[in-house]
Amino acid sequence: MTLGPAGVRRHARWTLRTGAALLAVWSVVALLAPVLAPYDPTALGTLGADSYRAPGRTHPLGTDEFGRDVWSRVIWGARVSLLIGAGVALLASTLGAAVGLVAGARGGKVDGILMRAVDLMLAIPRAYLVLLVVGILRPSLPLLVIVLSATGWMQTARVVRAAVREIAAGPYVEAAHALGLPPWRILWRHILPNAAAPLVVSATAMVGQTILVENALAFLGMGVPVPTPSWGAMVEEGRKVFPGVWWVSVAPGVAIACTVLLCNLTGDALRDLLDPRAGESGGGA
Amino acid sequence: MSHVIVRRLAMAPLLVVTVAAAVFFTARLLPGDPLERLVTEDTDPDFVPRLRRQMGLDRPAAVQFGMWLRGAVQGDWGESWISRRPVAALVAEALPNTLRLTVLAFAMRWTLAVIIGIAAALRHGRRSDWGLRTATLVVDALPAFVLGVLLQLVFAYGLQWLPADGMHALDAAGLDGFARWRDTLAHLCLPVLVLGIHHVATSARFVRAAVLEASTREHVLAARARGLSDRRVLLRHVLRNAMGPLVTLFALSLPGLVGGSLIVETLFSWPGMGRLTVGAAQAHDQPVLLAAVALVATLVVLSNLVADVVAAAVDPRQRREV
Repeated sequence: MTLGPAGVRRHARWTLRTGAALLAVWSVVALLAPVLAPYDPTALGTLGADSYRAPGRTHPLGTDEFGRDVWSRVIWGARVSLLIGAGVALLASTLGAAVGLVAGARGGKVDGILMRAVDLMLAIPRAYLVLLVVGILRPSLPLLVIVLSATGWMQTARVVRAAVREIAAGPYVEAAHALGLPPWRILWRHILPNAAAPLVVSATAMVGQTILVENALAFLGMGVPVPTPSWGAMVEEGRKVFPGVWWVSVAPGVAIACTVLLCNLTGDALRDLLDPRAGESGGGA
Repeated sequence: MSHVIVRRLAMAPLLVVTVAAAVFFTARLLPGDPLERLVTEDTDPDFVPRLRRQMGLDRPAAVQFGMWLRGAVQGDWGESWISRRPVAALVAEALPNTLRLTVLAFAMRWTLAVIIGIAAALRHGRRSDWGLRTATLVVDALPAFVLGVLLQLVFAYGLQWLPADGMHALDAAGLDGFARWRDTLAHLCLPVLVLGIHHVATSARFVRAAVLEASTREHVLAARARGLSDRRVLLRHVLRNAMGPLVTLFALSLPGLVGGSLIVETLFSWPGMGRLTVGAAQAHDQPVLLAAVALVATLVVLSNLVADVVAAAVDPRQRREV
């Protein structure tokens, strides 16, 4: 009744290709924002005359309060979101992998302490912790990347630790030990490459999650500082002129939803392909 | 079983102090002077040094933590830098409002999840599986603030069925009995919907998995073979066995009751813990921010503990890992 393993794989491969391709296109659009954007995203129009123009030929998605072109701001906003998403995924995965690797390989007391720290950090709601930091320091792009990475590595650490423990028990690791290879070499050459699949899967899943958190912060006015275009902040700006001027809020809202959806689709498909035991994503018989 | 639970509970005070310390030192050890942000041109020149002394900011961080913790235990959480009101009073106003919102959202989420999950398990097959999976993906990708803004656009501004934000209408004080009750209910609708709908799809998938798992057991086959009606098999033999994992799931989602409503409360101007925290962060009101984050973190950790205990009580397999 459900798809067989082969069917799941075929479907996942198709989703992965489509998702990754669309995501690549979107990233290229973001990268080329300076060339592709019809207007400067921060250039102010004549107040009054250019404010809140409805979508039309000159402005495909209309203009905002200050006469700035919404479409240009949406694609510049993609730069910020994708940059933070990718940056945090990279940084947090590295940190998580390092902790997971050490905990899984050393075991014993070190493992105990590190995993208690992971439990503790997972217990504190991430959004509140991030808010605490950006509420005390001034939010900026580097700060956001650091804070989101520092509060986002724990799940990766758990995944990598589990993988390392399983791999370390394997016969070829025992063989490597028997051959007298130094522990760091076994860790680097024999254990880490085999833990790569779950690491890649969790890093991909992190991109979409991070984009959601980043834009939620921007919506609360605690994201990248103005006038840098950010989708969350744009949704918030458009809120005060509801319902007549809907495009200022709706355009960036759709952009967030689509980007995160693409990230999640790609991540899910990747998990189905690389990590079949995590299986069927959502559990089920 | 009981000694595991006792051991867990005995650890609780230590856990709470650790969480409080983690939050406190995160806040205190950040670079920069927190008080500098408050200074404007017309600030009394005496204000900052006085506040610094009063808060003990000139003492070592460990001493500050001790003072802060002792105060917190005694119910003295300092005073807001902005409104000058005691933090404890602000929290006492905000927390019940948050619970009112989250308890209803929690009830809505699990009612829908159980109904959808059972339905999906009964019709389990390609189409319903695909539908549930797609719904999960879409809902997961839709941020709460975008969903909320859309619902406000449609139901508050477009159709004008429901109020867009706030907890009471402006003239609510003059209303009596039924009208007042109706007013509160109308204000609750949209925030509860946004908060509740967010995890329905994910929760429904868990319910579906639990029901499917229970329905493949041999005693269910035996019950069918005895010729019992589908309804009776479902109610007496499948659902009863699926209850264990479901109760565990409920319990595990308890922490969300105190935590996850920063966005929804801000969007709907709901005067709860989330909005208190966001407002304090925006205004750099450190005593309020610190107390709110520490309190929410503590409550979440404690409800995690409750969840673990409930899970261990319901499902013996969980006890080994606790």
